[in-house]
Amino acid sequence: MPCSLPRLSVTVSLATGSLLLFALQIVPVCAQKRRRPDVTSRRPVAAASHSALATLSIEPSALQMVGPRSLAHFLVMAHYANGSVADVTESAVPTLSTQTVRLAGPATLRPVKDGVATLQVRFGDKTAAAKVTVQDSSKPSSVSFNNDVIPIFTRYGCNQGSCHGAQYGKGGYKLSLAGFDTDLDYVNTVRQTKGRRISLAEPERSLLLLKPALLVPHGGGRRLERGSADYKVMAQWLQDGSPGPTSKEPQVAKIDVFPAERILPTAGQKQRLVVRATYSDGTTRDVTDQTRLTTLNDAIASCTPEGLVTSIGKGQTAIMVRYGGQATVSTMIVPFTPIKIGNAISLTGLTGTARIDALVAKKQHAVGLLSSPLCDDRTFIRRVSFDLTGTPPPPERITTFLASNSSDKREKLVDELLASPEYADFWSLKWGDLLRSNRANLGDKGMWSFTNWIHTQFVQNRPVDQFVHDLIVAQGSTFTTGPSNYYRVANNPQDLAETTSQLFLGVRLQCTRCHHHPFEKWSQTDYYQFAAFFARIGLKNSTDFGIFGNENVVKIQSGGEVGHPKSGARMYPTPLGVTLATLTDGKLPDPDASGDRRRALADWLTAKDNRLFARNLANRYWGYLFTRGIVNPIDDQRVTNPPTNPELLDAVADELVGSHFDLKHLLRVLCTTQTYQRSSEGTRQNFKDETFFTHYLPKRLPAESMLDAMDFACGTREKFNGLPLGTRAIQLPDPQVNSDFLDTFGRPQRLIACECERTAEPNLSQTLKLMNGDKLNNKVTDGNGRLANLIKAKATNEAILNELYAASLGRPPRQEERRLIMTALVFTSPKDRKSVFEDVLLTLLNSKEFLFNH
Amino acid sequence: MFDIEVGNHTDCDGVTRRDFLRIGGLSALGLTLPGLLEAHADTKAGVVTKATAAGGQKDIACILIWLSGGPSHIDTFDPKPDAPQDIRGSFKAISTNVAGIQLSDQLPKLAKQMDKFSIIRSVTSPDGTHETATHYLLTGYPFAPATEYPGYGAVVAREKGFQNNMPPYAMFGGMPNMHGGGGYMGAVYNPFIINGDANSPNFSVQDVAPPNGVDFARLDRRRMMRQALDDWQRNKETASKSSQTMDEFYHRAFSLVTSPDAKKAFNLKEEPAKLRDEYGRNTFGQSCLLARRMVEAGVRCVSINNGGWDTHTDNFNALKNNLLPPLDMGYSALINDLKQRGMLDTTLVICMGEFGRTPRINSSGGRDHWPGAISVAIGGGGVKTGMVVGSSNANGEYPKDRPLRVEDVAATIYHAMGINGEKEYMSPQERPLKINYDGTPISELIG
Repeated sequence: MPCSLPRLSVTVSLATGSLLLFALQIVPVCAQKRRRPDVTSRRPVAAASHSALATLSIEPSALQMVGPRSLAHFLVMAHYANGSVADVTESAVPTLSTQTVRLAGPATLRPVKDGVATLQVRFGDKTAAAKVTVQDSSKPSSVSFNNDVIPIFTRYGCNQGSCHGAQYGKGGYKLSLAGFDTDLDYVNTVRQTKGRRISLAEPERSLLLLKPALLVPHGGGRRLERGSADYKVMAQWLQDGSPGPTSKEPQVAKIDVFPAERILPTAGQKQRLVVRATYSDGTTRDVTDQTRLTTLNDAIASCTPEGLVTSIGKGQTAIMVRYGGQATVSTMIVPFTPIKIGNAISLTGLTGTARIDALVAKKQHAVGLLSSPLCDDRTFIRRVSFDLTGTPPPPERITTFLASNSSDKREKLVDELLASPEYADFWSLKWGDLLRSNRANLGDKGMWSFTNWIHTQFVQNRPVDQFVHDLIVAQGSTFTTGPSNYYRVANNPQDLAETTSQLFLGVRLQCTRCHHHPFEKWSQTDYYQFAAFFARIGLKNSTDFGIFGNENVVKIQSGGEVGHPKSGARMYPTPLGVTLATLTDGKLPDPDASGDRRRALADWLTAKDNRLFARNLANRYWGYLFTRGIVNPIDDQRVTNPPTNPELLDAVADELVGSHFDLKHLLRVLCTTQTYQRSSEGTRQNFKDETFFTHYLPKRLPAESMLDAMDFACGTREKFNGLPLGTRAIQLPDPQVNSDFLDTFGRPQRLIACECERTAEPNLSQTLKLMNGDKLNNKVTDGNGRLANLIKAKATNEAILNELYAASLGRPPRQEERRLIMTALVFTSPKDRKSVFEDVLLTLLNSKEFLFNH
Repeated sequence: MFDIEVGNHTDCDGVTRRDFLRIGGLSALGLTLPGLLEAHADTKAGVVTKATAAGGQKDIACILIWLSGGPSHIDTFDPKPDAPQDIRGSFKAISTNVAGIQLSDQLPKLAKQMDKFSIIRSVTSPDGTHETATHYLLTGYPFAPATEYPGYGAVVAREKGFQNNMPPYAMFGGMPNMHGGGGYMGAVYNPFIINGDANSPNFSVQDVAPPNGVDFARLDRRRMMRQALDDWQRNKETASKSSQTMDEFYHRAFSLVTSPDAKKAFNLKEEPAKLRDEYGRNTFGQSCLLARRMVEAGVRCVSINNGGWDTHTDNFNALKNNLLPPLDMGYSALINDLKQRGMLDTTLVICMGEFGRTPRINSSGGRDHWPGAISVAIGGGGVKTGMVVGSSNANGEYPKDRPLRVEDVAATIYHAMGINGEKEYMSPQERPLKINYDGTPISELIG
């Protein structure tokens, strides 16, 4: 559309490129990083809860400084006899063996001359030592745009979302968010507006310095002190002729944070963090002062921009650590109750359920929590029936189960459920959601072919690696080859890359379509290299089903590549996390040698040693059963969203891999753990916990299970359009089968590849439907329903009551409940008896006990 | 070109593409104990409201008439009688009861109520796609693939909460292109959707009236039974949050169902036949009337979706025969009725769509999407009436003076509602987002 307004046309061109960028403006850090406060008073740390000091350590254990401007922060950690640890950096006394380095603060070193020194610290009666190496201390070092200037932008907040990092920049100057696009930043800084931001002739007359030092008006106020160290670095860079980024200079290869994990015994405890970057040339650099540090849960621990963590409340949180396009976390644990070190849990020789239970217990031990007791048999059969089959247990099965004296009756019940047809129905519904089988996209025939194929996978208990492999390499007619519909749900390399990585790796790549991932190491190159696997897929229309048959044939084309959106470079198909350079010695094999480059992807994806694949599935399945994943959201595995219990996640993943990707085996193991069998009642000590699996977290029944369970309780059958009477909600092939009820209760429409599309969030419309809706009322009062038939059969009040309770809640009424209802009946005329029972049944179906799986 | 059936809410872009654009960045929304239920407490603590609202301390309500598909600005609120025939079209301009302001001659009733609303003629946007532009106009934020922003009513619901047992945010028909709901704040702030045809003789708001054969005595018996029997997680102290939330909603729903006010609010039959006729005996007219009743009962924001404005073909017949007469009737009756009842000062009424339409008439006698110039009708609730803000150029292509952005319209709405647009919410990705992106309330309208 033509657009004649100049302002608008600018907006349009910007909008296309940076819409996502704008959308992902990340948490702005506090306006400005201040220097680490100088701590002059060396008061001893309150060691109230500590026992005898055992050892002392310095972190990082070896310190390196390269170049005259370098520095190194260090931490001194005290380890006590009872196993507890404390940050005693501020109280420890440092000494240096040589004049190679000097102390530039209580726990900061600066280089003096090249060489090696030993840093010794003393605290109490203990000492510790660390080696310090200094290189290039007198070598005039040029200032690097990437490694020096950009970190200053980041440090002072210049490139944060609310300043020049905003979608359209600020004041006409646009920087990439958090400095992820250094090339763009360089061009905009040096060349844009005809280079008026910098003056090479008179560096200090550059707007780049005048503005932040507030020597000329600056909308962002004063950011940089004239004459400060960072100011001098910027001035030096201008003096040097403002050199741009080069491919030769070392890149950040990884970052480490110290300490990586810390237990803070109570609220109000402090821990300093030190961040070290390792570059591609093997050198390291202390980047603590330039790192963005953000707590993920400030109710548990806060973190200042300088890296001082303070514990606030109980639980576990991660501190997100981001520098130079890399990200990591430091885990902070504040135990719920004081922990007793000593009775550590041994994992030796444990496998299967025992190992999982031990790992859960170990974590609970670390955070000072105790589990709730195990649930009773009646609770267990209802819980596991809904979780494995989406179906309530019939009263007969409950009776048999309760009557059994077998010691492994819970295991046997799990096997029985896994072998039932409802298992396949329920899990194909789940996977149909994830894979988005929907006739709105695929047509009737395509949808049925996809849905039926998925169903077959679960009937046959197909190993999930083979199931996924089939999807990835699928070809052929979307009407006759079910899995080929995967390529019609998403039908371009980008969408396929995003869907595939999210579904099977738990990696959300979407951000990197347009810019570097703000919370991850993934770059645009990673994205387009991954997308390149899908570069040669063609969708051909077929007229085998008539010219309006809408059949598509997925086929491999002989050509087609994916280019990098900025450089246009052809992208070599590469799995995520694989560095091409390490793969070969510069010579890359022909990706299409097998005739289909997706084979390499499918092989890599489903390989036994692909931890991303195994962890993703392990976590999702854990989340389905335990209401919360070990990683949450359950389909967002990323470095900065760490598992609450990494060892546990690995153990579950191992269980899956060890069983050759047998999903029934995984479910069997998980359902027979003690962890799964905990009561849903929290104890006074653990009720607040939603992270460490101390008790079973109740979940609202999924929409389909709820409707089926209501039909079962009422003795009615829902009639769905176009499907035979008797088809249950969990058997519906796609969301195009109309049901206002299911939609209101959060049935996903299968439009996005996100677990979040199915929602259990309550709202007013749901409650109105339960309390007051015609549908449920009609089921309760149905003339051929359970209650009507009981009345017709002249059943006694007692018998009716028992049956209504058994069919809805799976238990007999308690004494008190029986008394209440019987009393109500006494005061009711016989003709109103039915209405009382109707109200009882409706009430039971409105009760939380019914609506939740618990 | 698609043949668009008037009144059918399908736009030319077909099925909603937004959902395919939308990325998985939206994580499970982490609201377990909905803030909605606690909003009032929040307000009392003084955290939220800025007492500089145009309406002072009064509670301002809002009725949004949403013309889905994008109404032609030239054929409604911004006539161009002096433009060439292929631009001005077949309608003429008529004078209104405010000297100097003209409307399309297809809006004769509104012309007589011009003193009860204002027109902004210089809103301009770069977005000419239904799905994304709908998001822009309904939220004040340009569409972003990773983040669904909340609609105005959802923000009001979060800031102000329930009033007289009535849901704070209600909507006739579904959310346009799925926008205007709670967005990143969570589905708990989605509007209470009213389905069905308010003009139908047996219309009732779904699930609010008890089912056949169930009277209030029985409803109450059920409530007491639930109270007595549902003892799962009875111990409030250790009960899970989800269980407590469900109890809260049960309480809200019961209050709504049994509240005489609510019952009255939803019962159009209580209105005199003459007034019902004035609003127009059609879905839109009766929805406007019902909206007024709901506002009286305590609903804070009502959205009325009126579809079919995507007139790529046969623009003039569609407007003249199907679209404009009910709009003219319903909208004019609404503002007049509000005025007569003394409610206009506390009720902001807005009428707009996602964009304007091309000034030049296409070969099918239609007009296509045109976001360069958008007319927004707005007034009441302290927003000045009887004014025109800005103007478009001679051919209605883009602003001639006072160019305004959608963000400014949003800022004006929030200002009128007494909501501080600068306040930040935390998105599920822990990203602070302002209620209003960076708009400035339109000074001419708020004085």
